[in-house]
Amino acid sequence: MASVVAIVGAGEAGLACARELAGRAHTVVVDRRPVEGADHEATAIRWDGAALLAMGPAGAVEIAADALVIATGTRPLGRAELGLVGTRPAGVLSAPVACELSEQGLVRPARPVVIGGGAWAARAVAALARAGAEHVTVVAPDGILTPPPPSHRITIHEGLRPLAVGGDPQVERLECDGAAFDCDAIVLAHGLAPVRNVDGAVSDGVRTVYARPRDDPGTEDGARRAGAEAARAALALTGGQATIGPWWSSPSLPPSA
Amino acid sequence: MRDYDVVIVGGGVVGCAIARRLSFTTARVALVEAAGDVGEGASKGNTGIATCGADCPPGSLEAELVTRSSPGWEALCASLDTPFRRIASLAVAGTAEEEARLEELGAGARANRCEAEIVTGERARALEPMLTPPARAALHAPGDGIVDPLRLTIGYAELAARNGVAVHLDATVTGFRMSGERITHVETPDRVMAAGYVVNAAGIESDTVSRLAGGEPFTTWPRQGQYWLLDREVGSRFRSIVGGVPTAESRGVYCVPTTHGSLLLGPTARDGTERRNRATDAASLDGVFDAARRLVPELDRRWAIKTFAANRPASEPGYRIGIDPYRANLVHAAGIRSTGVSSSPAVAELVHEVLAAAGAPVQDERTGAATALEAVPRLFGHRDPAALFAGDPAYGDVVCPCEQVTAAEIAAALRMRVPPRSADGVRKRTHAAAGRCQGAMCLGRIAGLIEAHG
Repeated sequence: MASVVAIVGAGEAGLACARELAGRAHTVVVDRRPVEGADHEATAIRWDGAALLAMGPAGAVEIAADALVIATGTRPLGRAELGLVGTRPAGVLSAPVACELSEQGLVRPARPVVIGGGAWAARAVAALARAGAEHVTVVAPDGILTPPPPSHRITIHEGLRPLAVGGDPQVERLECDGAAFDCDAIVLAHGLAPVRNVDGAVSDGVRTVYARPRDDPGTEDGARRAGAEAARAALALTGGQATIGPWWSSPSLPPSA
Repeated sequence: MRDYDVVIVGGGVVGCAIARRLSFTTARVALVEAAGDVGEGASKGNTGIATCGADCPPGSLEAELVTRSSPGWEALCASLDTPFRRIASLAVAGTAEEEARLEELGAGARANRCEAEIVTGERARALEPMLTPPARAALHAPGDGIVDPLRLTIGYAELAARNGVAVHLDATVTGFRMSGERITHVETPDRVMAAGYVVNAAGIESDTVSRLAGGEPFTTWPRQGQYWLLDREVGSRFRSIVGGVPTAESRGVYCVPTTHGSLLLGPTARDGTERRNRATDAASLDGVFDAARRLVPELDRRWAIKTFAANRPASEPGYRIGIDPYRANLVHAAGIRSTGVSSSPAVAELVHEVLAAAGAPVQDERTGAATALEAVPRLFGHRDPAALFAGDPAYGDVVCPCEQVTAAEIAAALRMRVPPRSADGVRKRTHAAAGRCQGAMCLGRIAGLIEAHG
């Protein structure tokens, strides 16, 4: 009987994982969003080592599986993860939220500070500029990895460490080591933390493999490599017919974009 | 003509508990709160411990009210759709000196008629495997529990509102009108309310309220507490509340599992002067973490999902409950320092008795008053998600994946009588955005749901 691998996430990594497993294991891919390549539009909730439970517009989905692959991507670090102390005012937003809200016109800061120098920071700077920001200050603790769109309304400070937030109830200031910036929003776009929400598989789930792209800034190619690696590890976990052999060095991946 | 028989000033856990109690009577009641939601002060930043009172000063009003509240938590929280679990606590002695103080603590618990037993270090580790190896002994208090203090406060207010209590938010009390020894009106920026009686449950601002009313002068000040919130990856492994041995000055730092499975570390206890200062600082947070790690060495900052600070209302003496000596229709429920959650049910009963004795029309119980809120089923931890979905397809729409909060639960929150007005209000009612990504995945959607609701 073919083993079953449940894959959470239908991004580059998750789909590369499914392709790599094709013909060697039965795969079931779930994704929160209605995306191409996912077998179920559903949010994975729990994993008990033998079955994955997900909830979606079609109801509860239970997938019996021999292994689980978590390929849910990454998000910027949060306040506590960055070690930011100080007040907890309105106006401190994670980059995905800042992008979404400024695109919806629900936030329009005039003088935001963006913390980070990677892809999320570049995306947030662009979204804030489109929403009418007068001036965007970028604080990039590890330097600029993905340059934001060039503009005279953007100032970049590389190598500064953000330390504390000021202002209450509305954000007013970001203090760094050696500098402070007045602002009306702080966007958290630094670092990459794995998105992991499946209870039972958050950090060391039974029969669980985590697709871990290593490139920063991320590339589609890197995500695909991570997905393919996860497929091999998952096959090893299903313990059986999957021999880890030379076949997995064969190029089963489509050429990178 | 009076607008209200009783106006309660302050929408924290104490004011809301009083509002619920009075809502069972025929009195016309209003609750006025300066902030845009109930539970915005100390009620939103505390450990969530519902203590049985073992460590309260024997013979104090605090001890009496906390111990009187304790047996009722299961029934009360069930009626308010509020999570509660009686998980016991361990006050752990690591040194000979602390072990000696454990005896005093045990004697205090006996004086308060609380079930509590001094156990060996070995027994303590059997009760709580997360404990540090060098524990010498511990006081085990099986009656201690954990409650969701936000849902408790909101539940009190919601039930009160269902029973007709008017809840006025963004309503800072700016003054009072008097006639002789009595207050006649309560003034807020938007309205002036004719009031028969006024209850001062303004927490850290209760001295201001007393001063504005021409009542007894006293002082309240902020005792700041800083906290860490850790992921339920570690929190769910705890069985009990773990703390050190309290000193006369402070109860010290606890590791408290929350009703959602996460873990709180804290608080610090630093008297301050800035009432609005809710800033954390690195040195204090380091101190909390170090203290927690002395109890549970394997705690690691990689589990940290949030740090925050809140001010509890300190006053000397604490627990100032009763009629003001200068204003015959002003009842204080002030100086309820760190045990406001734990004592709130009995404080509300006591304030009701005080009002009744003073002649307020609160004696008669209202017929047909609701005594419970209907429970909103939650996906998180639910045994039968398919049945939830069959009842309401919005349970298939998981808005917050970290805390597994669905659109059905958020819609129920938005339909409340005391509804959320912000994403933070949704968080307080549903736990959405309270998890490990702190809303990075869902706050945009939640803002949209609030906007769409209007």
